[in-house]
Amino acid sequence: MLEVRGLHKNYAGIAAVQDVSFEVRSGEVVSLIGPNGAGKTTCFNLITGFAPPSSGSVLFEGRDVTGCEPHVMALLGVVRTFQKTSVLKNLTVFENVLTARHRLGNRSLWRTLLPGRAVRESERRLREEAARVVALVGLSARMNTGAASLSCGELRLLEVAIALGAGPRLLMLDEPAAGLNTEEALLLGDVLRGLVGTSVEALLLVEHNMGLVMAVSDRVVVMNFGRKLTEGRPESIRQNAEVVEAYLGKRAA
Amino acid sequence: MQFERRFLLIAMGLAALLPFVVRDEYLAHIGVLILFSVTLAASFNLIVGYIGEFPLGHTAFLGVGAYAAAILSTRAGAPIYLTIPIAGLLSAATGLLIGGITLRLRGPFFVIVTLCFAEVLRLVANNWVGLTNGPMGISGVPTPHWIASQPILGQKISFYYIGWVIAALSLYVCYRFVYSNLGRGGVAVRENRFVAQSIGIKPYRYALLTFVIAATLCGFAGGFYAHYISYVGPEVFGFPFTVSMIIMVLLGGKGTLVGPVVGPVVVVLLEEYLRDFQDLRLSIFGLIVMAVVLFLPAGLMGFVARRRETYAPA
Amino acid sequence: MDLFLQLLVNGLISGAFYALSALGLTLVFGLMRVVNFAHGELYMVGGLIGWALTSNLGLDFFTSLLLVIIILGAAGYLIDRVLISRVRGEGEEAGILLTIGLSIFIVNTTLLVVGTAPEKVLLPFSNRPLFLGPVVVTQSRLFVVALCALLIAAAHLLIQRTKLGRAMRATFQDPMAACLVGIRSHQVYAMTFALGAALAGVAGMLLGSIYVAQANVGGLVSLKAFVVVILGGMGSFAGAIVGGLILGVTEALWGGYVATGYVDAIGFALVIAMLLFRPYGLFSRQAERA
Repeated sequence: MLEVRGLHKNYAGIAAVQDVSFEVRSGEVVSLIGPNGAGKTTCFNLITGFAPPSSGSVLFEGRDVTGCEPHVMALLGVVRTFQKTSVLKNLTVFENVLTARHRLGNRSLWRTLLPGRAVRESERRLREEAARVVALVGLSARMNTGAASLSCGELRLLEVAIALGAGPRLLMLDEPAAGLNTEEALLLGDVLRGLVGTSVEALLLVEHNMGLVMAVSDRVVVMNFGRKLTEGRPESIRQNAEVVEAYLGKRAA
Repeated sequence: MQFERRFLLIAMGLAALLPFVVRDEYLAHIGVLILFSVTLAASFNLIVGYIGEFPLGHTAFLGVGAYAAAILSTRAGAPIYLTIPIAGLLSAATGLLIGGITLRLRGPFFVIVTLCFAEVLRLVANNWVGLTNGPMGISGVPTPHWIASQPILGQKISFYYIGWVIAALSLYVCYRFVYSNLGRGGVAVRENRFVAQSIGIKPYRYALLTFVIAATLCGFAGGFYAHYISYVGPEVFGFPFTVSMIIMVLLGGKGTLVGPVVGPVVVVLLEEYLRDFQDLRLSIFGLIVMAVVLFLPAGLMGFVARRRETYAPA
Repeated sequence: MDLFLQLLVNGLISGAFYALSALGLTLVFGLMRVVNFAHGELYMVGGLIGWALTSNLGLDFFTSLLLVIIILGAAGYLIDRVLISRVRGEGEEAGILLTIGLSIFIVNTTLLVVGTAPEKVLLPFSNRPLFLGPVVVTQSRLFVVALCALLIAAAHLLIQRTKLGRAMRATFQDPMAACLVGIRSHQVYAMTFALGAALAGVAGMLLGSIYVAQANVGGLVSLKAFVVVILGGMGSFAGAIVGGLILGVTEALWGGYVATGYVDAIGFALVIAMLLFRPYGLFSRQAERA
């Protein structure tokens, strides 16, 4: 579904990402892991068009989408979240997700000024679908609460809800479990697992929480210093000596 | 949503009934001024609310509209029901041009460059004597027959109703835009550009759309102005109009739908009340602007909850 | 060729004037991120005070200059402490609106006090022409240009070499860190604004001796200063100088070779052209939205 080939990104002489290739197949959950600074978020930016790659290519469903603008990627069905401030703070939970459904609603100026039954129908549909997405992530109780009043765990769920609201085929989440305690992370894991095959076709995560990674992923890609170290099933990655070294350092002699 | 809708309907309803009780030419004139200002404020406020900056060059659209109407009616004899729409169209085109360039810029740059555009237009109006009659301006913009044949009070009231139609149209457009899917997109862009992009919204497109709509409404106001005052000069691009718009929108409540009604009423009445104070009046306005920014940044109607969409399970 | 040289020299001279008058604006923006729309009015007030001191009170030029620096500096300090400090956290828009209100207030109050008549600041030099090869320059202009250069250099030294200057630069780079090392940031901000105001005022006085000191010049001065600052890059010292010179020379050449009517528009055309092709300004700082 998503294929990344030989991605490079240079920032003023420093290679943030070097020769990274991997793919995400339909129906899969793939996690991108690695120590801080490994270039994971940069990869996200390169894939979704928030930063153009210095070289390499990104293919979605066989189409070359390298360097496409972010909103175009979203319209194609690739939606991502951000590590921080990924919500519209001054809006409620419902409004956030309703806004996320924007691309599926009326975007014609004429019909905005002279709305007929079709537009009213579309709006009604959007509102119901948004409510359903909010329920899917388990935030129904906070439907009309301002995003600024949510707890950390709820904020993370809202971020997922917003991205889901946009109706993605490939959902890319950047550290969805950041700041969550074990319980909240488990809850999130359940939500995420339930999404694949039902609401989205595939999931690509950047995550530090190993428990979550091991629990939800079909495959894990490990990065370090901008390069891809290795990839494989979660169990084999856990035992891979190189990966352990990347996180914990070399054994003292 | 409900409050705003009711407020606007009542306000415009009262405005429509006003001529039945007003018998004084001067009061009718004030009424016309207020309606003209409501359109200006609504269009200015659209940009303030959605793009989040104060477009100091907004008079560019007022001036283009005014001159368009003036030139078309004096040179080509076009009637008022053509000149005002065409004025709007030309302002829209100007909006497309100016917005196309300035909307890629960050805050202060956007503000200053729109001001530069307005200044350029003022200089053009001042110097291109062949088209605009230079600093002398275009006078004798014709009043439509059916208006001119009435006594003075009737004339003012006729213009009042034309102004009412334009103001009502502006408020309607703003209301529909705000409470729509497009409006939601605009809010997303204003609140967080990155999130907006990640869900498929192109910020530039929405900014440009808002800008052009605002320019069109301002152009209608300009065309109206030309016919009402019968004279258009380069000063229509000048800063005093901008100052008025700033004060009306700030005082009324920026980014609200009811602010552009409350602000002009207060400001026009204030201006008339202070007319006796002559030059001191403008100094006082400066103080008012500062006071509002410091102590009442949300304006008089700021307490009105911004657009809110709640969900109640059926 | 002679015409070209004359126009060039005229342009460089007025460019130097533009540079000085834009310096205060770019410093305040660069160090405080405040776009001071009252800049032109501070310039204007400096000019009128200069006129009042030299013409009415008969003080000599340099004393008056010093007094203008002090008075405008104090005014700037107060404006920051009383007004601008209250909206400091609220983003650029609040500062813009506040200074617009301030400029409206200043200009109209001044009009009430002195009226609209243009005045001239008295110089200790005459308008006697000096001939430098094929080029003619008046003594007074040369003198004022020299003073401009001196003042620009002094401002540069202030920012780069003095303790206050270091404090300013530190506060700009990281207000929190500057606080943590003991810099009193509200003082620094006020002093920065005072510096900007003093520069504006002194430019007003100097140029009020060449051109006029008049209550309603503020608007155009502000606009021209904005042009210079955008051309050179907001917050860039060197940019203000280069931007000023470019504006001066371009205006002179256009006015001399093409037409005089649209001369003022040339600056705006330059800005628009530049933002289309090179949005960063010549020297620094992105003007583009993310």
